[in-house]
Amino acid sequence: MKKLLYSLLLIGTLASCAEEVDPTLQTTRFSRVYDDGIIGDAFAPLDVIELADSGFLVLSTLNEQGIHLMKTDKEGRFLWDRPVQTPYAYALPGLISDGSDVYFFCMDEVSLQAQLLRVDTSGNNPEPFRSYPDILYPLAAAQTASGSVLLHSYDRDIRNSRLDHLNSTFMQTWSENYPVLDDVEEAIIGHLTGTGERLPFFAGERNGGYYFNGFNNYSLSLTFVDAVGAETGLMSGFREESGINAAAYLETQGNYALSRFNNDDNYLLPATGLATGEETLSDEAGGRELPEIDPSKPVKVLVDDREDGNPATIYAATTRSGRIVLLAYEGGTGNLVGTRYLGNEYAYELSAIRTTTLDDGLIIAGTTRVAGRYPRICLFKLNAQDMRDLLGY
Amino acid sequence: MIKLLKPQARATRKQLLSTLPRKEAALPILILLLLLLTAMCLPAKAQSRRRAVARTSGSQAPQMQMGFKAGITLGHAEVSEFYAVRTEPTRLVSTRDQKTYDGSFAHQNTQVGLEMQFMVNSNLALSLQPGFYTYGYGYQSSFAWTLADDASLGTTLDLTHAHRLRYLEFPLLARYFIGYGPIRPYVQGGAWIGWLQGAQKDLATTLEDNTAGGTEPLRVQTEETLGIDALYLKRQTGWIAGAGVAFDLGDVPDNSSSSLGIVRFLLSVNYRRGFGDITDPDERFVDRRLLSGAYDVQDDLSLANIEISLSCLFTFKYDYL
Repeated sequence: MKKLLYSLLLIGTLASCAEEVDPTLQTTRFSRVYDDGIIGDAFAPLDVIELADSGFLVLSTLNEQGIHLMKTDKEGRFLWDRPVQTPYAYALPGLISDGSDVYFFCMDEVSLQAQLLRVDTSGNNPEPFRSYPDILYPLAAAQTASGSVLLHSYDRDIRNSRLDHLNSTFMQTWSENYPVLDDVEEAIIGHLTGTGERLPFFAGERNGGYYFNGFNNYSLSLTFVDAVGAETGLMSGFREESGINAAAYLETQGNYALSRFNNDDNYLLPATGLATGEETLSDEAGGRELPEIDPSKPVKVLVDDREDGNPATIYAATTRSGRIVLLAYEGGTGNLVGTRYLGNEYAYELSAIRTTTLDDGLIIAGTTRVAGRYPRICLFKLNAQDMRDLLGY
Repeated sequence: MIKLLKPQARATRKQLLSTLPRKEAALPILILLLLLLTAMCLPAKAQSRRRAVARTSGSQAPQMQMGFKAGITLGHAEVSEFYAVRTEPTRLVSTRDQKTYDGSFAHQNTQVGLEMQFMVNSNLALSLQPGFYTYGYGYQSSFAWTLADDASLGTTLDLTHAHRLRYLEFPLLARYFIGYGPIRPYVQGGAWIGWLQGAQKDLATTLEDNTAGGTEPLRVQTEETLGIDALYLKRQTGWIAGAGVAFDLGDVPDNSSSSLGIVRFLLSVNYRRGFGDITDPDERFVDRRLLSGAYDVQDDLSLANIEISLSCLFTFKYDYL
């Protein structure tokens, strides 16, 4: 009987020996493709943002000029989608959150005027929130740390690039024009409609001022402005053939992480000081050439704080082999600390990248071609462990 | 037809071994070595015991036996939660992207190993059955893309997934023999612990293309085998319940005999079920080979199997009834 008891004890011990798993890991990493099965539909994400309920909202173009919104839960499961009705078209890749609501800029396809729509996160049609009749061809929007908004546009009547500063209620506080001295409307229409080259318009915040990437002085240029929009310096490219295609300001280091292109070549400058009070040429900025990056596709860079307190810059780009690559650098030194590739058999193209607050992870939106052919939205979510691996600690 | 083991699959296996903690990887091998050592020592001890019992009179029966066990497993997967890479918005038309799992006990595989049986009394025995156990399960997934204005024109992708998992397992069973004599039925139950030794996926793909300009749909079939060890937890436990019948052949050898003594054959039918899911959730969305193209991701699932086995046990120690 004693032997039997020992044996039963052993069997009970075996039962308790199953490998333990951390259930939280299941919710924090995923890879999803959202496919409607219709051959003619073409989706291309513009931006993704984490919502208060830890789900994700994806803003996309649908069939070139249409706008499409989609919401998922925190594990990337589809919740709802909503095509936005005309006349709203050509949404900008910059979802803006005021903490409770999410907004995005787009264009009235008839009047070309900028429109601000508020997203209904329960899935109803987004509602018009504000119109900007004096702002034509909106091209890029960015939210600052204080909640204000930068809106970059092109005024075809006077051939000027324009930067508007909006307060947290989206009222204009100042506006400045920057002469292009050339007619670039055709290039901008090509960019918006997809019939021409996609151009890297963006805007951002730096110490004591702002910057935007757009046409200035004949060429695609990174323009530095002060706190009220007065131009202080310029990093010029050469027309649309060279210039800057991504930038981020590292506040603690006082330097910049840049990506620049020159025709078919792409260069990364993970930690560089810039003469923001002078006129310089992007082609003379140097940097490491990364032949694997396709400069005709979006390149994004963001600053993320590492656990050791030092900032890291994460570049995301599309490779020439049709995958998405993440490259992480130390913010202070510019040393490469980690890389990661996303996608495999069918082509993937980067659209947007953001950090997530729920688990210190990363959400990446892109386009993939299902069955190798049909463009669809894809989302990759990396968890905290992935980030530790990527950032090298 | 293309059938090959991708280089990445071999790399995955190597990676797995290198990432296993050294103690974890060595444990099953150590247990197996101990069992073999015990088996080698038992005959000498049994011989000595036989000489001792020969001096006495009375009826004897096997007390400790050891031998071989082999058989088949018939298995399927029990899914506790489904996952998907390709997510279909609800407003849209296709409903073909659900996974369909194969029917109950549809996948036949093999098992082979050792068996050691110790009789606690004339009816109750304990049996340890270390060995290699292979389990299988499978499912199908389908994707379709059609023209909005002509649903008859489109592309379909049908995938058949067959998974095979090989474990080194150590089942321990309590076995109760009914009645007396050379033929005795029995019931048994117990538990096992196992370590994953390897996992493979046979992936068969059929692409039917009716949108690329041909006058007839083009049908392209491919097959490949992938190493998928990383998708599963490395250690597994479960329970067993079943019944069988034992046949005893031979007699208790006397001092001068060179016979094998009593040889016991056991034909068992058991139901085996894992205590928990075998999928490693941390690796679910990691394998880029499967996530892109096949749009395949592992569900949370456990294995259910019927095993049919035949054991042949040689007696190393006798005791009085």
